[in-house]
Amino acid sequence: MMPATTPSATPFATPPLPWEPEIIAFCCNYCAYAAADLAGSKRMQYPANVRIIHAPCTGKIEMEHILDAFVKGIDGILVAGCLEGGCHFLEGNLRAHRRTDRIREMLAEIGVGEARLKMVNLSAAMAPTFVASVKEMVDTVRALGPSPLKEPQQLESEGTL
Amino acid sequence: MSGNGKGAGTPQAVGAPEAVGTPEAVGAVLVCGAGITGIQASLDLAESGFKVYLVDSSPAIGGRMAQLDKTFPTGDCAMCIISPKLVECARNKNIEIITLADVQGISGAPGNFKVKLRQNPRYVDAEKCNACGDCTEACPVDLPSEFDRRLGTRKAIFRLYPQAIPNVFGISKAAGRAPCRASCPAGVNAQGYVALIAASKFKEAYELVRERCPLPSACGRVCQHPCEDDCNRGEIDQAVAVRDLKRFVADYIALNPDDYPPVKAATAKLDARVAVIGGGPAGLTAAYDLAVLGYGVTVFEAQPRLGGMLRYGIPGYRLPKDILDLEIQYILDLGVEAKTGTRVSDPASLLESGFKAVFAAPGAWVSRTLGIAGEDASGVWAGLDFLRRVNSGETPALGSNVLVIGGGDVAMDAARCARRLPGVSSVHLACLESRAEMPAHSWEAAEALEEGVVFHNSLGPTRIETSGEKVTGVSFRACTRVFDEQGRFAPQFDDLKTSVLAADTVIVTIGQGIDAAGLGVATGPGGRVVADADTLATSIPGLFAGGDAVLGPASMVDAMAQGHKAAEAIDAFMRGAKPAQASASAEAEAPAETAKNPRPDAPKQERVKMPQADPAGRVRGFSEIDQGYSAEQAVAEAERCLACGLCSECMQCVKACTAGAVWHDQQAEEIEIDAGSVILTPGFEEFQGALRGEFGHGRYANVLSSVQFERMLSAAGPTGGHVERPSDGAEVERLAFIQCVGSRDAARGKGYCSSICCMSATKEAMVALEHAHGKQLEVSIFCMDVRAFGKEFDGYVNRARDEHGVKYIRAIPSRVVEMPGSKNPRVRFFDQAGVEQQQEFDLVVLSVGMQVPESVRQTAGRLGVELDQFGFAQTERLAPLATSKPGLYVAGAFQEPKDIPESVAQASAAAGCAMDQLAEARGTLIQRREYPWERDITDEPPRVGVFICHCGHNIASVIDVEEVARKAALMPNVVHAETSLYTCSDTNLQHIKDTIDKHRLNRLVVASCSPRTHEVLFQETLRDSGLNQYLFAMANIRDQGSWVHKDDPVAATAKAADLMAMAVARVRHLKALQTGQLPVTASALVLGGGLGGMTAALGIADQGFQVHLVEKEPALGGLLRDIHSTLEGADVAAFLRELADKVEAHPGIEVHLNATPASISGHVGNFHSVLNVAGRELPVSHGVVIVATGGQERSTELYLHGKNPHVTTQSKLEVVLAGGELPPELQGKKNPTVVMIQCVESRNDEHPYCSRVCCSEAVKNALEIKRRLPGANVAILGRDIRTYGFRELFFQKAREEGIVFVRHPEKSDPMVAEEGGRLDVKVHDSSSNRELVLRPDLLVLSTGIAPAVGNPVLSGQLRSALTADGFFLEAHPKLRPVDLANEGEFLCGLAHSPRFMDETIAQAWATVGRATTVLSKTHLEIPGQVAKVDPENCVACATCVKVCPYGAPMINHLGKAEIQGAMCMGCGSCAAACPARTITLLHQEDRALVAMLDELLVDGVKA
Repeated sequence: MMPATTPSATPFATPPLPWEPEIIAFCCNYCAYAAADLAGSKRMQYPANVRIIHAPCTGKIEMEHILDAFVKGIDGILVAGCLEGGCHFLEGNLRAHRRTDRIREMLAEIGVGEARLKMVNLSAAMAPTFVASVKEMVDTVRALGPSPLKEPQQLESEGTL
Repeated sequence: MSGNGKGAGTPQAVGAPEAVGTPEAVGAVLVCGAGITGIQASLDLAESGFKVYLVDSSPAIGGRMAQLDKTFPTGDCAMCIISPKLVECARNKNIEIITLADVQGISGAPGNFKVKLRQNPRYVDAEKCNACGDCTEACPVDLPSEFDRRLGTRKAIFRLYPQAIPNVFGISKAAGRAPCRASCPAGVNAQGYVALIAASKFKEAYELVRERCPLPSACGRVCQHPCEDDCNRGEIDQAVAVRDLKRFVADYIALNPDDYPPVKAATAKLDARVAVIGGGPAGLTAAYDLAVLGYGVTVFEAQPRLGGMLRYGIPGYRLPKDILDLEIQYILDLGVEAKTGTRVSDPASLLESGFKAVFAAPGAWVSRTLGIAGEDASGVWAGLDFLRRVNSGETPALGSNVLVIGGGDVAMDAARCARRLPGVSSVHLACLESRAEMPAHSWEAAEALEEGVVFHNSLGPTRIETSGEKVTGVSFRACTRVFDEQGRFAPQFDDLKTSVLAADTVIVTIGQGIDAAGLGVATGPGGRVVADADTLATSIPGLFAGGDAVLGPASMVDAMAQGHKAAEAIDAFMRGAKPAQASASAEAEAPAETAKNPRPDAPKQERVKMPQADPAGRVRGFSEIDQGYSAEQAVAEAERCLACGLCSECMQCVKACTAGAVWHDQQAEEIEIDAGSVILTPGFEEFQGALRGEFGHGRYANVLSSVQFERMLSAAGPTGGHVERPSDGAEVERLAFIQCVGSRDAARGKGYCSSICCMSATKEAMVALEHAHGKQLEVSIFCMDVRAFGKEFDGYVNRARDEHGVKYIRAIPSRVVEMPGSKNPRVRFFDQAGVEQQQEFDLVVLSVGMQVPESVRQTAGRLGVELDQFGFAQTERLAPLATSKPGLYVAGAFQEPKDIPESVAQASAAAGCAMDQLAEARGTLIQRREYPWERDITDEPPRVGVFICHCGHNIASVIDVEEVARKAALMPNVVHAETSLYTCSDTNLQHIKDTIDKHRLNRLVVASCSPRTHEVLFQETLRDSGLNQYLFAMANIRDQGSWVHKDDPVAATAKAADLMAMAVARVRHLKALQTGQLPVTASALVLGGGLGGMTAALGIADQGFQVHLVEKEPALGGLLRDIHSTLEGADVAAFLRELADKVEAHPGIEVHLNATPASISGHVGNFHSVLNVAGRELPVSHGVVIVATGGQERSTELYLHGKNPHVTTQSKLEVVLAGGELPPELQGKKNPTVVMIQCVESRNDEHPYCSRVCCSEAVKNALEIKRRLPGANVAILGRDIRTYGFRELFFQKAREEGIVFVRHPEKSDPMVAEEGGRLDVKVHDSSSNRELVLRPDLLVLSTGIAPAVGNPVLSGQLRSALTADGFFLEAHPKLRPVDLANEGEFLCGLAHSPRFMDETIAQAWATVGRATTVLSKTHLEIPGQVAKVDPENCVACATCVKVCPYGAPMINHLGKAEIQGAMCMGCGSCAAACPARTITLLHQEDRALVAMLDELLVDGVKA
């Protein structure tokens, strides 16, 4: 097998890069995560700004965690669940919808901007929808600029994303 | 699985089950057909303790459902719901999936069969393939995708669909080789290189050509191309220009020498030298092959240069000498020694001088003479001498008027060469043959004519006229016939017709002879060398001979073939094998037949013409005429190839596959399987729309079948879900469906209704509207009836019609015509007023019906299963799952056309029947995996191992995996990080285990592909290493990384590092979770003593489990007591008596009459209920509940029912008819009138659903009346007649018997009035658009079925919801049709929805199949990912109780919430909703998620 090279061998330094939108996509197991997999097996290309977090159901995604991510400086969050009426756990996606709607209102109130959070519904076969949603989210956030909650040093040390 | 192995069940089992298989019953079942039906049957059997062989002829399981986009009526994505089942099948150790296999035969007896299978080759080793898809990327062959119904293409090496299970690739090969390849004497893989050219892989194409053709440039110019003569494309327009394409790649290499693939000689040089006599194509080919094999080769050539006839016979304008030189140099570069200008007169001497073998291919260099006077005159040339001198660069001095005698290719060459020589002013050519008979290639004759050569046909020369020494002309007589009737050369002449052609030069080109006398070997006719046809061995051992010297003058490709043969024979000779056992050549392995044209319907497309120098200019010199293809032209021409062999065997996949999985010469195998029972679930195919020629399917681009349209709607389909016109890709604004194409069509042998098409067309309409995103789209559905008879179906159709504007047009079109120009299909039909209408659409979809594939009929024949008149399995209504052969069961569409839920129910039912038969063998053949004792890591700090996968180059070609590993190694708690080529390979999994031991790892992260496919595999590895499987996290850096960010390796690498780091952050916080175990009470509570309840009770009790059967009435039977016969005439009353007797006599069934449940509590495996039995309370414990509480006939006061004595209901009428009487209204009358009104209190606003059975009931009673009183007038009034499936045949019979069906419009119900004691019925007849007035003697109302009155109470006791119509709501309307939402609760019969007896029986057996998945286990496993309440902070607000869809949380006796583990599905909804935040979903704890966010956003690995 191939062991990793030792850290001292090649000192790694990232030159400061221009800001790139940092986006998290919470994807439910049965539909959205599967759609993202399908986008992969169909080799559909989308921007590399998104990090997927695998959730059992969008109904499990708690307000606190979405808010926590914004507090920690995320630029945008996509919540991707099953089609309405198609939730594997019956109504989890509907609850997620109500929850994201509430957080969007809060984001609007505190000046972060409601557009930084979006929920989409898609089926496991809807890879094109997944890709389009990611692109749209990246474009939206790019237009909005870095999250106002981002610490200045976070912007400076960008480059690993 | 059954814990106590052999035996009749579990410790709680009671009673001796009757007839449960023979003593040596086999605990395995073969399921034939792996669509959703076969899959469900397999899962139920495997979960109930039986080994399953799941067999399918296709390369993947999933069947037709995998092709669907959505399902009706819920609009679920088909792939979303079937994919988990596919994965479950693949993971279940007791399901052996056997794809690409056909059943050949069966022997043995029920309980113990032997089934023979033929396992067809996949050409890919499924064990080695890791589905990376590199092979598909490399494959140059595009084939129409059958999965997409030819709307799209796929490669020859492919996966049926991305989610296919088994998740491996396979290759399609035709039964024979492509004709181009099969006809090539030299065995050049023409289809292969043409395909590679089409894919712009020119270098690879050249390499492939060179494998069998060492002279591609020459061959690409002068080959007589038998490949093109046999090309299947010739049937359509013109053959593919195979030869010109070969020339193209050869020229490409000449222009791009860096791409020249050096051919390596064998590394171990063989210490033996071989001599080749003759440097022509035969000799050079042999020399090349022998040199590649490692022999030292010396070529002896009499002429000054190598090339033979290629150099000295073929003029430079066809084959430039410099090109030939280059090509020969490639051969010499292999180390072949050439001795030119060396004539070998005695080959045997070479053998004596040290050569171990000699191949003599000296050619045919003697020009034949005419044998007429004057032939020795000055100015008469022998053709070959002339050509040799011209081709040597000389300029022979000819006269000005040249006459060539002969009509073959050499004559053309001579004439055209003469035409180019200075001083020649005219060239004439005379030959025996007529223009059509001339042996020269037509293109060469045409080019000669273009260049000004004058032909004189049908002339036989008699003398050469001379003046002194000099030629002056030739005298001819007319040739009247060249060949005799047998085609032999036997010319006849007319001596009276003579002529003279003047000439000062005559070139005689009438054939070549062989001068082999000097070789010292035996010669035969024509002086040819005698050599063995297979080995080319001559009379002298070690001397082989071939080429023109053996064959007589032949083509270049024949000569090359001889060269190959000689090399193989000499190699065999050198190795000491007998010459007859020459190593099997490629040709020897070739299949006997050649492949047929796979695309006879391919559109015409002209061959790409190769540019040529213009005739006037080209005769001025010897420069090349054909100019060669450009790359664009070559690709365009190559794309005309039909890929007849399907796979071209170009071997690109072999080169691309780093796993070494491709296996081109895999062979079919015979397998024999021991199975106690066989379940047939082979499914259906769609009717071929083209057979209804009037609709233009297959001819008109914009007429699709419903299956094609389904693929078009699929996001994973050929258009990515975009609805567009195939003709021009334009948006569709007007869409029409034509129903009943291949259904309800007795004239075409399809008299039955396919049952699903009305709903599937409605669904496709709805999905198309959804895809239109509000853009203009009008949908019309042309149909006879709308058969929306299933649960919640009518509501769906009503929504489509009322909310989405889908138009249902009651007409069946007579014709579809394509409009010229627009290609719009125009539909012609008769409207309701009988007026012919024409309507134009953008796209027309034919709703094609179901039929049984021919292959399935043949399989059934081999199994001895009887079929009905349409080819479906013959079954009885009261035994719908039994085939004619005992021990063989049937389920799904092969039994009768049906939709998915009915098929799935039948699947569980057939599984239940097989279990019933094999109960004693349960658990005897199943496997359980044993794991080592789990290590307690509670007190260990996290020690994480990170494994990063290259996935061949799928990941590593984009992502710098070493960089990711380097970053991983820097993370806290990571004690080991490495990369590997395939992390999931068996060897690597073993390595992971070793690494866990070596570094005492206690957490694992794998950064590779999707957890959806690979998580369980790695979790098993953890368990094998003594670690809890929950101490694992995956980072999906392929599907979410390298595959989707191909063009940005830097960003992809950074993202991969983040995903890996997030997984490491998460895994640090993961804890070992215990999968709980709950003991199971092996008894069932069956509620309802009707048909469903009794059937289920018997099925369960027969397998040795205890049953409590609860009936509210004082007797068993339920609604069945009111039914007396089926439509087919079976005796229902007798059936009921027998069933009830069996139940009452069964020792395992405790029947509780006058009983109802008072309370039901507990959960799957352990219910505790109290029954109220005639006022007494009786507690019972049970593992499952089956709801079979039935329904009732709806009562009505409409239409004067209860007021007028002549108004009755269908069931009352049936009672009278069953008693042998006629209703009093009809007695003694000859022509009484009976009117039946359908949908009374059904399909209205109050009761919007269809009761499904009433149409058939009405037909049944109407037919019975007509049978007894043929003069009776019977009219049935309704909106639609819903006699689906084979019931349609009785509808047809009814019409033949003169029963009148009056269709009336929606919202226009019949009116009934009483006038002077007489009934007066008014109805609007849609077909005549008139008001009809009927005066019946008897009015019969079809009142439909109402849900049982007790449903609401029972629903509360079970915590299971009812539908708006009051029936029980199943867990999933498609794939869990007999499960209730709560685990361990099942339902069947009218409690589910209105249905027929056969459907109730199937559902009842389905509950048996489902219930035993619980009852057969001693313990149930509870997964670790369940919610848990910390009671400390719980305020018992009951939010969790409200939120949970499964009823898992409850408020316990301490006043705190508690999650009942067995019922929790692990979705986490309660955890997210808990206001006190005191519920945790284990394995998804907050701190793990927070750590991931911190890792990404706060800490990060920055260096």
